[in-house]
Amino acid sequence: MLDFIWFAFLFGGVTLSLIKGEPAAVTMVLLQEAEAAVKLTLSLIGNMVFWLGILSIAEAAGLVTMLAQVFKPIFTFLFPTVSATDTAAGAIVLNLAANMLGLGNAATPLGLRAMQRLQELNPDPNKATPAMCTFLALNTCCITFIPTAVLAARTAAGSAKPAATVGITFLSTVVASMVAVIADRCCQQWWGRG
Amino acid sequence: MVLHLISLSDNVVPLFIGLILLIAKLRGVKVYEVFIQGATAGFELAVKMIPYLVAMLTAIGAARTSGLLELVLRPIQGPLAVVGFPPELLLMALTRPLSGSASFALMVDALQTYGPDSLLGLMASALQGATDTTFYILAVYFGSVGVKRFRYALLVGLLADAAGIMAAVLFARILWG
Repeated sequence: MLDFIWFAFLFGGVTLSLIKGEPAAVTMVLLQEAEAAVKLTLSLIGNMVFWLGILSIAEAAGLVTMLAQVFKPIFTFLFPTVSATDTAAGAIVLNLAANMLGLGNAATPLGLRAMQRLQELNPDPNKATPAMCTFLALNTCCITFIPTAVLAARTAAGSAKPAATVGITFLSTVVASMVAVIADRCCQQWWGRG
Repeated sequence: MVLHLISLSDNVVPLFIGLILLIAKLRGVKVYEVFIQGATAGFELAVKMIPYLVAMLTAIGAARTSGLLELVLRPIQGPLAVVGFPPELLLMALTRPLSGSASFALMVDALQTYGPDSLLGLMASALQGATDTTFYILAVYFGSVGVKRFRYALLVGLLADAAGIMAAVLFARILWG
């Protein structure tokens, strides 16, 4: 599916630009975006290094396993293939918690740590495991209590009630997460567990 | 209210770090050493995901700039308007899973054009918060560990995006007409 979408975007974009007779714009965007991707990654490094350092302190202190224990029932329901005492469990719980609080900067490194651990449990390193899919399904629509960036933008735009959408944002993410969990379970069945 | 929410978010990070450090120290963890050990992995992780991110962002950029996205939108505009989806926000909704910064810019544009407290402005705000940038998340997370076959993760992510977006529009209609 990704293969097809990627092909369609790139091939369709390039072809359309030729048909329209304005190929220069697309060529420029390709180079710009490639550069932007590298810059974005580089700008993430400091943040990533810092949070992974903090996380290993928390791991060494036994806090991550403790947190995983607290959320054990819901965790085992969502991730039947991962032990709730595994390092992955704590990192997953922390990542989702950071996302909910609108702490995007902290959430990504925590999530990457979780992926790293899930990859160690993966028999085929090229292929996503069911646990990875569930984790990312929850991540792509993570329940949000505080949409920090939107609040800032609404305030900047001079809104009289910048927090007006906080409630429905939360509800919408709950709906999206429920759909994600159900869809993930169905796909797991259809695609098989392998 | 807003200030409270933002300051809650602001306080969480220092509180969290302070608490971790304190408990680790009390339990006899060599904090500096452990920090360096864990932090070293960060660089490698970040560098590993560069090709994935370049692949994703260039393809999305080409689709956006060439007008391919608008072209795809045209046939679904009518049916979506029937179920109450405002055509003004359709491009933003479609952009949301592809590029967080692009859809954020479209939201700011909607806030300025229609006013932040108008129905469309409120809807745009709810929509932006309702889901996350699925393509980016999958590229970064799978990329950092070298997984190339995402299996059904993209399908599930996009279904959830669609659900979140439709829910945001529906809730906004219920609340503000």
